[in-house]
Amino acid sequence: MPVIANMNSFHQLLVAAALAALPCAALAQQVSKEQIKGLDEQVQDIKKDVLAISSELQLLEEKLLYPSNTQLSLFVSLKGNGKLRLDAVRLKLDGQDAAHHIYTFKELEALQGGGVQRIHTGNIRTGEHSVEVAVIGKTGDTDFQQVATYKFKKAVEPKLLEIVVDRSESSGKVIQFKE
Amino acid sequence: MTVVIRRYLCLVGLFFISPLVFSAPPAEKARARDLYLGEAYYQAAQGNYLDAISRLDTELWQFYRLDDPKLDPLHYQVNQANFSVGDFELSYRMHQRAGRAIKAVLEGNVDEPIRNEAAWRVARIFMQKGDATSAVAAIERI
Repeated sequence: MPVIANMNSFHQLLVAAALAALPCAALAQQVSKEQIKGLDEQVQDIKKDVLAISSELQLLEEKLLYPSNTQLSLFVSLKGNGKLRLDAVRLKLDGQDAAHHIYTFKELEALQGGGVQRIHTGNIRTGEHSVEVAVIGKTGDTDFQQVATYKFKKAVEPKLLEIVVDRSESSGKVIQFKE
Repeated sequence: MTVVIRRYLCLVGLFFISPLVFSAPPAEKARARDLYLGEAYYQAAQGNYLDAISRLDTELWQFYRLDDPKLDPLHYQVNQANFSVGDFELSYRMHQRAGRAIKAVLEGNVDEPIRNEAAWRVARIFMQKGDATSAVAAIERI
């Protein structure tokens, strides 16, 4: 009997200790939640600073490396749904190699989703220029390659040229240019 | 009564959507008329949110300083660009800034459909933060 009584008092003590520990645990949890919230805010502040620096750098890069009177940017976009799978694009500016890009699956998905890739940014003089674009890919099991040349005029403002790869089967011209 | 039911349906919808928002790709599938906006979509679709936000921030910064913004192709989609910055910031786990960007649209002089979309997005942000009351308040603005 004294053993059972001792066991009962031990259980009561254990329950009392557990109950006493509950508010402490709750307090600890609250503190850690606040700490997490504070940390989240700090991370967001750091990201904000990084973004501000990145934007400033982009503006500086544009201003110093590619001034508007000589700037040329070439973009690639996809249009239509067809069997053509784009593998790579090669660019020549005035006969000189300017860019060569091989596409990853993620990049192709981004292009199909309406994204536009900036494939080249550089400097050229004002006046007449030409760009040669080669699109390399596959249509079903057969290899596909088409080359197109476009003449354009560079004025004092930045020149943006979009190269549209039209995958629709009705389209005779896969490579189109948009200024 | 129907308004209350609709509001709670929206809230339930938000509850189910909110865990998916962080991993969701940008909602915009429409072609961007502005090439730099398109470039931001291209980066965001690959999960490069830092590049996407920074590109679009720079573009918007330049756009608002133009003498005649109507000559810039971004003016057709400037509201969409503002929303997209908010969306990318949300995906980049910057809900504080995302909320501010979208609230600016909500409180600006914009058309009703745009304001409604902004209210929906603000509600989604509140839901992500676990603030259901504010989410309902945002939905009430629709």
